[in-house]
Amino acid sequence: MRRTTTTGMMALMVALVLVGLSGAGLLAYQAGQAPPTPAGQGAGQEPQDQFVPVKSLPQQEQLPAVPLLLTAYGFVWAVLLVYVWSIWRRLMKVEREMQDLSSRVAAAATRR
Amino acid sequence: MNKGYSLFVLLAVVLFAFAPVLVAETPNEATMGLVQKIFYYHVPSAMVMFMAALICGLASAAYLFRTRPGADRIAAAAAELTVVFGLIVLVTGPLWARKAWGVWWQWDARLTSTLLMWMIFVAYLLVRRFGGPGAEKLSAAMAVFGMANVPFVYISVNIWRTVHPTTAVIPKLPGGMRGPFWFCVLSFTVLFGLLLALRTRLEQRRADLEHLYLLADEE
Amino acid sequence: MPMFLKVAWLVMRKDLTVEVRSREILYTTVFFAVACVLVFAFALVKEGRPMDDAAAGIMWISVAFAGTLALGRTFERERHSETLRALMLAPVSRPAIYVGKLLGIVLLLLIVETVLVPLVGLLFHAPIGNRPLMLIALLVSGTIGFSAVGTLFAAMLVRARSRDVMLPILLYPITIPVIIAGVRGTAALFEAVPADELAQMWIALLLFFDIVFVTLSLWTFEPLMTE
Repeated sequence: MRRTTTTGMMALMVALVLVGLSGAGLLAYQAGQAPPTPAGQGAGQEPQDQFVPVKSLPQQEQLPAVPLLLTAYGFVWAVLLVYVWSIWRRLMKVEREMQDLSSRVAAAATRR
Repeated sequence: MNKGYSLFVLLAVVLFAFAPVLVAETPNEATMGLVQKIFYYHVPSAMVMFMAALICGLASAAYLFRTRPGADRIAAAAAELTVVFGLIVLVTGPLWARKAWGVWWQWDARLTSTLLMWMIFVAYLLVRRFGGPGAEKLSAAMAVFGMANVPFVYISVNIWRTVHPTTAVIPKLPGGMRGPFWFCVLSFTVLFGLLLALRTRLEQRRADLEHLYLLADEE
Repeated sequence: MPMFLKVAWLVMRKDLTVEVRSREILYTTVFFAVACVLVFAFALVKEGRPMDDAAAGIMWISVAFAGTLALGRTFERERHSETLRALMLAPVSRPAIYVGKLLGIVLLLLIVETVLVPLVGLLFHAPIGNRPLMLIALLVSGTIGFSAVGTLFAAMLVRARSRDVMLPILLYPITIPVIIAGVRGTAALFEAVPADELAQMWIALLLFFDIVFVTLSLWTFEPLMTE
């Protein structure tokens, strides 16, 4: 029973890691397909003599979204993985102690 | 029981694996663009956080009023999950906000109340760990108040004018977003169920160990 | 019901009698609150003038800190004389004991506030006379909300380990909404033109908190205090 839980946990973690990597790759690929930035004005022959307002910032000036997106998804995966690992570690510790203790109890009983 | 666990694990993994694939295909949002895709993990995590908080509160109430130790074990597990998923919400949110609102954090009603609710459950874990004997009852009282917070956090965004989107966004999701969103909700819920079962099992084994220690002392 | 009120009144009277004899908790809490305000005054004053709108926040923070201290001291006194166990053994309804203790704490804090509010008004040039009745309503409802949760947890922690540090850890995340409502309501009243509707909204919210917190505390007091 203990081994099945261990194997189950390991399977869960390995699967999460593989899936996380492939998911991240897929997202990054899709993000990379964003349309290329529009070509700015050519290095003008004449100096600007007027400021022209624009509705929204051109893509180069905006905060890049991809790092934020990848950090967010990566963080979720990382936290869940660390948490599953933490449960596994604690469970193994308790199981080991139980084995120890029950063998000691059995030994004490047989001695009597 | 083990076959059930394996199936559960398989289901959780498959669902969670498929989620990024779906999310990659969703349409970009008009004003927020690519960064809005954090929504597909941020909101399901929040829903799971609420679920965990409610379960913790109900189990704690059952523990206080019926003194069932099993209820206390479920409460302890649920509290830890509230903190974990709350952490996810509180980190993915600001990452999204940095681009969408221009700031990492705002002291509006939704963010403040979520942070406070999260802290209540962090305090739960602290009391459990460092409170000494009788700490289970103290933490149970915290959980009851924490559970009372959940509806408050949920409607805070509808009552006060906040920078955070209102709850009306979910029912009005456009078609391309609806499917992947509810799929993510499903996969997060299944994962939550699995983690709750596993964590409760840890508490159960700890209790068994305590029992065994007592038996050993009697020898 | 009359029995309930009688017991609550008796418990409160006992606390008041003990306190009146020594006035220890009252004096030390008032002094602590004043010291708090002074620390903030020195920290937030620039070129001899206080920061704008700092008065409301400072007032409520001092109430919260002083309240936590008073709660700890009150129940420490109970623990020291083992009177809490005697109370629990008495054949009276437990929630009545809770209400009695709550009323004692609220009264103590209200007395502290009568010293604190004029001091804050003086040091930070805050117009405390703007809407006196609404200010009183804010203070009373906020104090009740804070004390309701505080009394419950302080009573629970009497027999716990590291109780001094546990009380703030447990109390603040739950009562911060009460403090926020108090601060925002007070700030609305301290404006040059007091924002009456806004203050009323905050008072209503505080009353809502009071009802929820007192109900939850009454409900959980009995199982929590039982071994």
